[in-house]
Formats: sequence, C-alpha cells, structure tokens
Amino acid sequence: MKSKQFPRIGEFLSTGAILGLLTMGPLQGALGAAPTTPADSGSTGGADATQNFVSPLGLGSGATISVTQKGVSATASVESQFVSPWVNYWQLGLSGTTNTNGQAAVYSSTDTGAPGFKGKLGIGRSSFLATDTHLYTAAAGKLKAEVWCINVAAKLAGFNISQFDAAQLTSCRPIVERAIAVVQALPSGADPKTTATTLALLQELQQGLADESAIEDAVCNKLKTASTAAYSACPDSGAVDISVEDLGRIYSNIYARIVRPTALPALYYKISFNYSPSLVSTDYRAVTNGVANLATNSHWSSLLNAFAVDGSLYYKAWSFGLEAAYGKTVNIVEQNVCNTTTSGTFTAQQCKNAMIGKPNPANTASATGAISFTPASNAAATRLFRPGLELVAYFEHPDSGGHKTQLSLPLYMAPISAPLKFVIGLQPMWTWTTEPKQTNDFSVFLFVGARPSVPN
Amino acid sequence: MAQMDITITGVARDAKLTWSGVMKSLSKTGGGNYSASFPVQPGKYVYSIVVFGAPEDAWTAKVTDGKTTHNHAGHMSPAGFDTTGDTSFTVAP
Repeated sequence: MKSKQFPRIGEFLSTGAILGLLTMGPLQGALGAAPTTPADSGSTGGADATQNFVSPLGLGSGATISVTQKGVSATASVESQFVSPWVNYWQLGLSGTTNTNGQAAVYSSTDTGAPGFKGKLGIGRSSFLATDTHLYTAAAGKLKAEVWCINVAAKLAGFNISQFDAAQLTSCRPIVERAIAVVQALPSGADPKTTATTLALLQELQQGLADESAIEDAVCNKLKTASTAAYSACPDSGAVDISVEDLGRIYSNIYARIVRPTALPALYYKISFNYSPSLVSTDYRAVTNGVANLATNSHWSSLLNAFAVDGSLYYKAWSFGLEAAYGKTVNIVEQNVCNTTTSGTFTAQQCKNAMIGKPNPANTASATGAISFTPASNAAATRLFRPGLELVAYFEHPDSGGHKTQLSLPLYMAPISAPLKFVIGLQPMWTWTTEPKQTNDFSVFLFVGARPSVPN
Repeated sequence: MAQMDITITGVARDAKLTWSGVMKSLSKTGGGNYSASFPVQPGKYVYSIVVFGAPEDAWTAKVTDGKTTHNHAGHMSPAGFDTTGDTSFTVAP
C-alpha cells in the first residue's frame, strides 16, 4: 500500500534530476511513534518519493526531467520581471508525469502514483529589482573608466603593472604620467610616427583624467589602428570585460575610494502570492456497504484549488524561505489490485495500482520553511568544488485531522566554474505521518542536477 | 532599427538590467540564465547589469546588437552582488 497526499501544497517544481532513490526502509517507531506495518508489495517504500529534492518554495530552474523507479516526471517554469513600483515579477510553473501503470499523463502532481496536473501562478515583489542601484552602477562605471585608462596607458607604454602596484594605485594619473615619461625617453631609433601617435594618445588620456569615460569612445576608435594590444582594453573589442567586484579585488584602493561608499546592501527579500491549482486523477475501486467492488475499475478526477504566500530573505551566503498555504488536498492510498487466473495448479496475476474507495478531498493548511547556505566553505581545498547545504521542513495539517511532517537535508557539491548548472549530492529525508495511519519513514536520495533554488 | 540581445548566466537570485536609465524586463529561462531582447535605434546608449547570487558565484553577460558585442564576466562579492557598471554601447546605423 502506498499513501500519497495530493497536492502537497508548497512542494512543487524540480531543479534536479533524481538519478537514484536509495530507500532505507521505514524506521519503525522512530521518535516514540507507534510501530507501523511495513508497506505491502505494491509500495516503493520509504518516504514519499517526490520528484524534487529542492526547496519547496522555489519554482525551480527552467525545464527538467527526473527519472525514478516510480516513473518519469517533467517540469518547467518561467519567471519574468516587469517595471512597476510594487509588484515587479510574475512566475509560472507546470509539471507532468507518467505513472507506474504506464499511463502517459499530460498532467501531473508532485508524485507519480496518481497523475495530476499541477500549476503555480503568482505575482510578487523582489527587493533586488526595487533597490535603487544607479549610484552603485555609476560609481562602478567610474572605476571601470579608471581601470581602462590604466590598462591603455600601460599597454601603450609597454610596461606591466604588478598586482601589488595595482592594489596601491588610487587613480590612473600616476600610470599616465609614468607612461608619458617612458615614451618620451624612447631612444632616437624608435619609429618617430609610432612614438608621436602613442604620445598623442597618452596626452589625450592625461587631458581626460577628470572623466575618463568621456574620452573612452574616441580613444578606443583611434586604438583600433594604433595599438591592437591597448584596444583589447576597450569594451567593444570583444575581449572579456572584467566585472566591477572582480576589479575591486585587484584595484582595492580605487574601489575603496569610488565604489565602496555606494555599495549595495547585503539583505534582500522576495514575496509572492500564488494560485496553485491541481488536477488530480486516480483509478479506484468503489466500496459499497463496506465491500469493495474490485472487478470494476472507476476513475476519479478533481480540480483542487490552493493559495500560497511565499516569502524569502537573502543575506550573503544565507537564504531563508517560508511558505504558508491553504487549499484542497486529497489523500491517495493505492494498493495492488490483481486479476488472478487459475489453470490447474498454475496461477497468473495481472495487477494495477488503484485506490480502494473513492478519494475524499479535504481542506489543508501547510507551512514550509527552508534555509540554504552556499558556499558552505571557501577553503583552498574547495577551489574546484564548493559545498552547499539546505534544510527544508514541511508541515501539513488537513481539517480532517492528523498531520504530515517532513524534514530533508540536501547536501551537495558544485563545480566552481558552473555552480548553478550541475550539482551532485545526497538528500536524507525524514517523514512522520499520522493520517491515514501513523508512519515514520527515512530515505536518502542521490541527486544530480541544477543547484537548489531557494525560495522565491 | 537594430535588436539588442542580452543574455546573462550564473545568477542564482536575481538580475537587473538598466538601459538608458530605464529598467528593462528580464526573463528567467532556467539554470541561472536571464535574457532580454528589444529593438533600438542607432545611437549611443549607457547600460548596466546588476546581478545577485551566492558569494563567489561566477557569472557572465553578453550584450550584442549583432555587429558589436560586449562580453562581461565576474564573481559575486562577499555580500552577493556584482555589476558591469555603467557601460556605453554604440549601435551603428
């Protein structure tokens, strides 16, 4: 027998493909709960084998496919910004599944036992977008103009700036003056035309020291023909333009003088309001006067509506998320229903998963909390791979009574070069359920996929 | 009329594009990727991209009109943000 709660409000789209499910089996009587009967042969055992290992709050990242022993699930999501004083983004997610009966579902829920369409449509406010960044980007532009001037002057004069010298610099002026001195001191055998052009460019830089960005385009146009090496410092050369925070690590004095006074805050929030409909369907066998009619297959479908408020805080390496939701859920309890054929001393069975009795939706309140910490270490030993961890707690309480509580702890490693696109890790998950019966489960997922996207 | 195409990768939390002093809408396309496309007249513009993510996350941005391309790359600060800074872009006729 397998018990599924549909839909699990708040648990939604995947960002990772679960390659394997390492089921550790039920932990009987854990945390003082009464012992429970092991699942029957139709069960996949362990905790609810949901399709995602990530924070239940996030919509995940793009489209993913996960393959488990219970079926194949596909999810997709999109988020877009819009310019508005209060509400500044919307999000939409969908998921689709095939179940273990081989039914191709164009719709799905969080599980594969009984397919159902699940969507999440919301609008929200992101303080990332609402924060005024124009002072910071203007100061950053000034820093980049100083660095551009330094690089062009150094390349025109043909000298290198050590990392130590770069950190000591407070402006482009000493480099331009040094470059002019170097060019003026060139031996008489140097090409006079080239020397004159180089000197003219350096003097143009010197005259533009008050605002290097004002002369950048004009100087870069001349550099296209005058000096290929110096032109590589121009943005339109196609060379990689190093970001401001990376430049700040090299030119720390200039960064401290120009950019640091305008630096952005470290604390941000996002909040969204979401409508989350689910179309759940399952096969069932009707029960009349306590007797199940196992021979007649019936099919049940229902649209279940739920609403959720998601909020999240971000501070440096930490992310915190909380979702509160209320809406209809339904508990799907499936069993193997078999047609047994006997011939002499031989028997054959054809089995399908189905629920005994018609599903009965109930209003349910749920809450989900998530904490993420990444990178969990910046030690030298983790320069190629960086660890991350996340703690997700879920509580669901139907009006009909009982509860389902789930705690999961994804631990993962990501290559530093692409920390969002590929992670590999393990997710221990503990589940305590009191309805329809008291169970305690523990399972471990091995996952490979995109980095958990905590909460939005 | 040219078309600007902006693609940003490696952004875990959010990204903000400002073009000529006006915020432009970005679409999140998954895996930390954001993108935007819009038509522009020939001329000189100033843009900036601010990205937000976990500290030390690597990110990239490509800004192109099909003729001229700016490639940006960096890593998030310890506070979790980074930027291209105000950058000029000339769209040729």
